[in-house]
Amino acid sequence: MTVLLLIGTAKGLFLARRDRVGDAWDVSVPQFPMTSVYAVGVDTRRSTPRLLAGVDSSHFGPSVAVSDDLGGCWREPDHAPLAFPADTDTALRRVWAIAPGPAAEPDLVWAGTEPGAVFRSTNGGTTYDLVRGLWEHPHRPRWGEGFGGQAFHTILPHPTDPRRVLVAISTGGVYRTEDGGESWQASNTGIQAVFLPEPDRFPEFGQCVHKVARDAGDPERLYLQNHHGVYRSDDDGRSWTSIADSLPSDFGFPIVAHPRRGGTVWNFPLTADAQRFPVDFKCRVFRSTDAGSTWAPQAYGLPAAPFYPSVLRDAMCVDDGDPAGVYFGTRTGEVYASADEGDSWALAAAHLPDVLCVRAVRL
Amino acid sequence: MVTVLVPGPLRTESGGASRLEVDSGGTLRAVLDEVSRRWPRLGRRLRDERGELRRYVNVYVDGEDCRMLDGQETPVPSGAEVQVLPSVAGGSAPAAAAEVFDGDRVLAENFAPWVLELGLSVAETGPDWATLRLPWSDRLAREGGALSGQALMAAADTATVIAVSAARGGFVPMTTVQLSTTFQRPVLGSDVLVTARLTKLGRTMAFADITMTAKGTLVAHATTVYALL
Repeated sequence: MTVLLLIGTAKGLFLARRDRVGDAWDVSVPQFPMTSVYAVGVDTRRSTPRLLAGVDSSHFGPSVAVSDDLGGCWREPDHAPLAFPADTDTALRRVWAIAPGPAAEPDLVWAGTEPGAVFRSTNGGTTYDLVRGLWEHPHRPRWGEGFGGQAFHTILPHPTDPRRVLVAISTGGVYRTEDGGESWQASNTGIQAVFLPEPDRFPEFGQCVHKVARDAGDPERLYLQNHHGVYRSDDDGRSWTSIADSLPSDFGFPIVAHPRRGGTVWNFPLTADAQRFPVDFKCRVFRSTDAGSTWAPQAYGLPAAPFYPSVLRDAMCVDDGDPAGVYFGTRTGEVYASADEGDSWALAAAHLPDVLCVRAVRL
Repeated sequence: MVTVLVPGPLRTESGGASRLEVDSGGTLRAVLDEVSRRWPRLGRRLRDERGELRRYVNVYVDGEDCRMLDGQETPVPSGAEVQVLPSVAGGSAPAAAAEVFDGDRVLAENFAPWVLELGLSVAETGPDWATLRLPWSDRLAREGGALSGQALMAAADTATVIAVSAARGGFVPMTTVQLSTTFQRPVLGSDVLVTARLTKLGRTMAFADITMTAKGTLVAHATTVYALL
């Protein structure tokens, strides 16, 4: 079964394909060269998956492009596909997240941006409108920004209830809507903000959430990698409890759930906020198969030598195969792939620019 | 009619054209509005949704950077040429107007109080040299009435800092590694001019030769080596 791997980097989008496990990956030349590709989306609700890419040029600004032939050609509208309305006096800097909506609404696509806002497309991701309910949220003036800028990097539409969406911003935390985006509530109960003084470390909002993933088996269950802290929610994000006990560190950026099997989740721990290296300088992915109660390292086939690069929040993904493929890319331009749910790994691509995001799909 | 020159990376948005003829004149804003109307994808690469020129897009009106003129309100007469150029690199800010080097200010802001009490002033600076005046003071005289060697050494040391700062266009942190002085004639009751010339200015090291004169006569000579931090 052919796998298509989209690799967004600081200097363009690379498409890697392979037809069989064991084959070498065929890695393309960069598309959108000299643009940062922070977000890619794969919309599998169509017969041929639609690819979406958030690209931004440091000279010529951001845009969103769409391909309906698996990256052969890309198109974007004449007028900006995603722009802030005039009354906001705000300019888009970057698209950080592209999330196709639930199966029931095949043309609904969400996007998260910097500065922190969420946009909604009802034409399959070609053009987008600002979600005013969140933009006008009274908390917005008090949202901060992380080291990478202020962005809604996570958008998780509920798979069966189109009215429910969970989003996350760094820094601001998790917000939920249950009415399709009209109104939003902060939803950070139990999530710590270690950068605030005691006793204010569990505020209503303001947390630096790095990434959230939704469980495949139970859509009410979510996993969250925080700026120090790994959490699980069993009530669609209303409350969170720590699942970091058996991890070597509770710091890191990505967290990815299995595409079908509930309770299985991966992350890539870093030592600490102030030590952004893999724990013990070892290249290891950690997997839990019991919803975070216990975690075990997976490093077979990964470099054994001291390893220093980090893995960014969107630079880890799974495909939809069985067994599931798992992929991650580093800031030093390597991409590693596992075809057996992380049990063994091999280098898929090397010497690329910084890897900002990866997404994979079986064709 | 105004001609708009499109840079290579953006010609995919202008149908491959490198020169666009635009009817609208008046101001640069009107020209760019017309560009956006006729070539909307080109327009949005140049300006964001607020209509502001993107930070690393430079636009020249008849060879003058519009940011040095009136921005988008810059008048664009008929027949003018509007050239769009990506700045050298995303990340490099537009060059600020060169600031005039102010040696006395460097002196006032970066030295210990006791050095300031010497009363040094910057007489002149050049691309790789600086001349400081050490005014005569009885307080600087040693037994016998001549100027203390310690004061001359401090003046030579200070002059080197000013010369390096002048060469670099402003104060940079540095530290003395070596200072060697010969005292050749006594100074009695007169100011001393201290001229430091850089014999080499590297990335991390600076070497200087300092002459100290009173009434046109060499009174002391020094060499210094500095580490630039």
